[in-house]
Amino acid sequence: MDDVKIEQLGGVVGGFSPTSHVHSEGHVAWSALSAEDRARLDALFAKGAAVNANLRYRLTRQGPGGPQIIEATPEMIPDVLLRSITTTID
Amino acid sequence: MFPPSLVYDCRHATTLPGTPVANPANSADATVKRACVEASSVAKFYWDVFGRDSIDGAHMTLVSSVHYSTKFNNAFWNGAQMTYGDGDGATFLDFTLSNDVIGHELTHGVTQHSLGLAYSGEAGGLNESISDVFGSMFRQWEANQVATQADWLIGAAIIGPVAHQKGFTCLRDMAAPKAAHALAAQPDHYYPGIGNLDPHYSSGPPNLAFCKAATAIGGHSWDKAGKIWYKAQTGFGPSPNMTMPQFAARTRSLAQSMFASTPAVHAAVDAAWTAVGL
Repeated sequence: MDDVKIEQLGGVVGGFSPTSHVHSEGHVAWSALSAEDRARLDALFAKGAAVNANLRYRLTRQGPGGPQIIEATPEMIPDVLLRSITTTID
Repeated sequence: MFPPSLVYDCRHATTLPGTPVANPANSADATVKRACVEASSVAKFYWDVFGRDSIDGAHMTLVSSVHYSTKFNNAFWNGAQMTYGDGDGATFLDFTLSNDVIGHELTHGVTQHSLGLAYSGEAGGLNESISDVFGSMFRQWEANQVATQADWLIGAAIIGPVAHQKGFTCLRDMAAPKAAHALAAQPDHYYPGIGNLDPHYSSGPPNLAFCKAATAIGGHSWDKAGKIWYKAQTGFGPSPNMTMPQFAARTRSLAQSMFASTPAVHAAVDAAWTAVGL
């Protein structure tokens, strides 16, 4: 497992539209996550349920069959991943 | 008379709601005070203009959390409360600085308790648009501006110095969705399939339609156009997957029935939607 990418969607900012100049995202190496956080993320990726929420995050990791992508609300996500996010303007 | 406005301090953690703040309306922390006072002011706006008693129409307590996480560049509604980040000081400033942002977030609660729109598809775009519409209207109401005086910008007061240096002056411009000064520019015309994109993108056409309608009608945006949009939002029960054409048709019909003696109102609403392809 390489790393987990996190992208912020929604809130008042949005930031995931085709013409948005602002992007908030982060990465955390799988090896840098605690066993507890890995287990939490494994459960999240396994569940993969759709999220209907104003603020949500897209999480991506490489799986054996290609990239795995899910969405989750902040309380579902390990804090270390949320805190890896930085904002850039292009 | 107005619902209580409670504020919690997250102290840079991400657990909601955080620690309750005593007497937030008089807090020495300007962020706490703004979150409290402006949330109360949005509630007063909804009561004075639309006769709505708080978020749920039943005197629901207003809950706001501030200082969420560290350098958090966003504000959101989580189904029960508003939450504001401090911004990173570069791209964004404290999210409580824009009163339209506070109106935007509280309005997500009103939508949840009325139309119940989803956060994806065309309904998601309508959801975001309704929050922008009422957020901007609230800002105009606080400034006692008529529609032609308003700048129709969303988030102008939270744009940080780095974004300003790059020429950005707002998150979105309701009057000119494609404008280069918007951090998240939007389309100004509806097309089938727009609902497959981010709701903050697809909200451009309905945002522009409201702006055009309110400006054409003249006077305060909340007097006529605002009352039509509010009735369309709250007067018919939940419709989680409502499409933009359905919402446009509803406001056209309401413009006719609510302002039967003033046909110019229906003409303005009709022309506004037609101009954005709806």
